[in-house]
Amino acid sequence: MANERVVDFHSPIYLQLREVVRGKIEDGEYPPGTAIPSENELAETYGINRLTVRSAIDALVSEGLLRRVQGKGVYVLGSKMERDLETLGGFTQTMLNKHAKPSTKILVKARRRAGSKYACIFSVPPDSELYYIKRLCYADGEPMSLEEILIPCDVVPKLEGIDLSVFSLYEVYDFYGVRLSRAWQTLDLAELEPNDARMLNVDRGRAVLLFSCTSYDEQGRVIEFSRSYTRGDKCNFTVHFQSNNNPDAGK
Amino acid sequence: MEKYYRSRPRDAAAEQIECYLCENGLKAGDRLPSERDMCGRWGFNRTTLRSAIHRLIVEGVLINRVGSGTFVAPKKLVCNLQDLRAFSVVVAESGRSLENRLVTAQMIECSKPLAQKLKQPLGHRIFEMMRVRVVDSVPVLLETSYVDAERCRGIEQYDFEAGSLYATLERDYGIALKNGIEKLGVTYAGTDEAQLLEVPEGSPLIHRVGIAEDFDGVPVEYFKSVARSEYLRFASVLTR
Repeated sequence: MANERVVDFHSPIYLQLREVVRGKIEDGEYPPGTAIPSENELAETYGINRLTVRSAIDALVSEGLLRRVQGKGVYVLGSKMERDLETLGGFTQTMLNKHAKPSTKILVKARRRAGSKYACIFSVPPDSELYYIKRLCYADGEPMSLEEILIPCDVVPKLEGIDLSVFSLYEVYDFYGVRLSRAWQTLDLAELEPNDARMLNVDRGRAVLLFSCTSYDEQGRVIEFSRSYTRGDKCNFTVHFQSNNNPDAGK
Repeated sequence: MEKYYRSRPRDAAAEQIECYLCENGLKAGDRLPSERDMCGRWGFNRTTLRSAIHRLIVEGVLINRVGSGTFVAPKKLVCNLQDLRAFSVVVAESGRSLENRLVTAQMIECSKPLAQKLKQPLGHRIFEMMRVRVVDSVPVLLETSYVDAERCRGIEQYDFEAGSLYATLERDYGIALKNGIEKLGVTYAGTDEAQLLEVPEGSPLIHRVGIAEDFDGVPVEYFKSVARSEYLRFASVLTR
């Protein structure tokens, strides 16, 4: 990026504010995934007009540093990378309606003690802390799956301030330099607790598909364990398979 | 963000049991303490504990033997969906015994739905075979395969209770499978399925349908199967 932005006190106010916000993003005062102060707050802090604030922010939005979310605020984006684990295999969820609009609702987002079960899964001491996230995923407003996600707190220390209805966890990992390298997925059948069944609109006693997924980073450390209880009547899953045997290794 | 999460009693009880298994190194076939004992030890009430145990039974962690208590279930057999290995190989590698019960093996004429899957004209000769796969004396999988019988002349002569379909195709017909696609979902056991898999009618099963192709992209096998999820676990690896 060629630097034509030598901004001093002669520069237009919106340019000065743009550089202030950029500086705070670069210094980490506004960490990726969190919202920056509202336009009103910024206007008040710096004693400037709201319209001026808006044009400063617009500039950063078009640069791809910020994202405006209708009705919520303006969020800091981190650096993005190429990915999608799912394109490289594994269960691909296909909705009955391909154009269904996805959305999620966070039910729980809290810290918890790992305990011996998760201490085993994450190879951490039982007394260490995990984030526990429970959310409902919808397609076109209809509940499709109930997800429970566990992440060791030191993987994404700022998760408290991040709005997970705006950013996917994968985006958050990218922001914080966590590189998922592989994941192990399993499929079982399960039964939901009555409360959860009601939330998912599943009749009691009906089975749901349970996908468990353990994700590893490049060092082989477990960074996420998730369980997704998915309605079998609404979703199909497809798997591509490939033989890795060479024709002369006949068994 | 809520400060600290307290799980619901039922979740806590299920997790407590799993912790107990892992802390005490309990293995398949080991017996759990009595309900009274567990309630006393961890301070759960009976109803909570029972529903936690019920859930762990459904998930295949525990197994209930009427009259003698609750035990740690044998580990599920893990089938990787991505690598196209014969079921017989997967079972053998896990050190278990496999028995194949042949339900049907016959020549049929290609129907319209099959015609589309196998890319063959209506009335083409197709070999249809249905087998129950019995692992360590438990019927876990009911599989139906459809194979082009013109391409594999004499395939009806083989004994598929003893032999593997994939191994036969490769060894005797020179057909090696390369890749394919399959769909998975939930289904509920019908009368026949219930009888063959020895489960109550209406029990939930994992349903799979797919097509496997050879190295030239020609469909070789169309298959349908239903599996008992308490014994089989399907898995896949995601990589970047």
